[in-house]
Amino acid sequence: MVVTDSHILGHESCGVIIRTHHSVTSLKVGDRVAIEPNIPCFTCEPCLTGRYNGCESVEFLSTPPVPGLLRRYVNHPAVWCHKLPDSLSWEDGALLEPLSVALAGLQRAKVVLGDPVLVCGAGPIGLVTLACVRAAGCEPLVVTDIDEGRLKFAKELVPSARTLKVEIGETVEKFAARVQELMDGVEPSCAIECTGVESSIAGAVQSVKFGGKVFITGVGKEEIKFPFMRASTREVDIQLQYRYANTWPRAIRLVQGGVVDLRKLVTHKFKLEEAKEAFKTAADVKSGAIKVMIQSLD
Amino acid sequence: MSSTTTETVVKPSKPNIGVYTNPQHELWVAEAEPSLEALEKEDTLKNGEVTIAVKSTGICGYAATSFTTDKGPFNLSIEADNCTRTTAPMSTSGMPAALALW
Repeated sequence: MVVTDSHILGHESCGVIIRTHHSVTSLKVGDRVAIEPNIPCFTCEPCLTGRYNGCESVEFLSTPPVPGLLRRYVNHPAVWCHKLPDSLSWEDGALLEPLSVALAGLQRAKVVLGDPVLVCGAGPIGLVTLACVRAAGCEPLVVTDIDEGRLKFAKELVPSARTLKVEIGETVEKFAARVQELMDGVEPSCAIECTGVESSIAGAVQSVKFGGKVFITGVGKEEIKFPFMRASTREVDIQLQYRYANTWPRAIRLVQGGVVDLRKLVTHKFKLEEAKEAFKTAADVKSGAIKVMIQSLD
Repeated sequence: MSSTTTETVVKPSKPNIGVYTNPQHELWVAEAEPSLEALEKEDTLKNGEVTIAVKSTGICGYAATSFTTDKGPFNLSIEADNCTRTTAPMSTSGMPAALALW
């Protein structure tokens, strides 16, 4: 999964069908679709048991050497193109991929109405996750980040969420105490960790109640240090995630039904020809960028 | 009309371009496949496939790549979404760097 040659990026896309092979009957020219960027083998055990995100032969667009979706035109299997309702914008369509990441996490974390939940990280995935756990009825909700701007954005997106600025270098004990205080004395039953950062994972493990769960959506270094004995003595369940499976239809229903609204996350839009500028903006923390869209609307 | 394809209502008219990176973490826009010529010939599709005119693509997370600009190389950071990007230190000599994506 290492770039060794020129490589096209992009895996969060939607568009319009302009041509179909005669064998395709599920879609027609003119249909607006969101693109699920995987082509699994459907012969291996994970595929055959419905967990095609575990397919080791998958062609995942944007993972080298498979070219990604940041192109003007792309050929793709119709089975991995999900029709968009008219009410969903192009931005909504492209946001279905990060929404799928969050939904895959929530489904396996099994958070339910009334669960007190900690969301670690207010980047794009943390924010999408926060919107989803709010929609799921979790309460109270605390979201953490090291960046005040991101926390402000989180509060605007989910006004009832309680925000906690992570202090670099603070102990996990202090962090957990602050989380509990913010939750009116309640320990979270689940922490959804969206940063993949070692210290944040440790804070999540420290924070959850006895028998609670830390669900790690975030990705990070190959190896990290982990608070093993804390997790052991508190019987904390640890779950991790790799991409998604069977999420697009659910994601579309949620957006179409107004249950989850992520449009606010789109802070910047650029034309395809301006992609370099788009990436610079996305990488510049001072830009305030959350989700930058690269578009080809003409 | 080819017996293997249906008539297109939206005829591709612009060249296909894509956004590229490389082991040096450079970023550029250039021609991509399927080419406009191939699309015009209507022979690029395999069984079960469709051609999509991509309208909108989100940049994953913090768009974690390091790439060079006219003002020189600089590093950007970190992980995001389902993508892991490990950036090797940039050098003015443009040492090859590994960029891992998933």
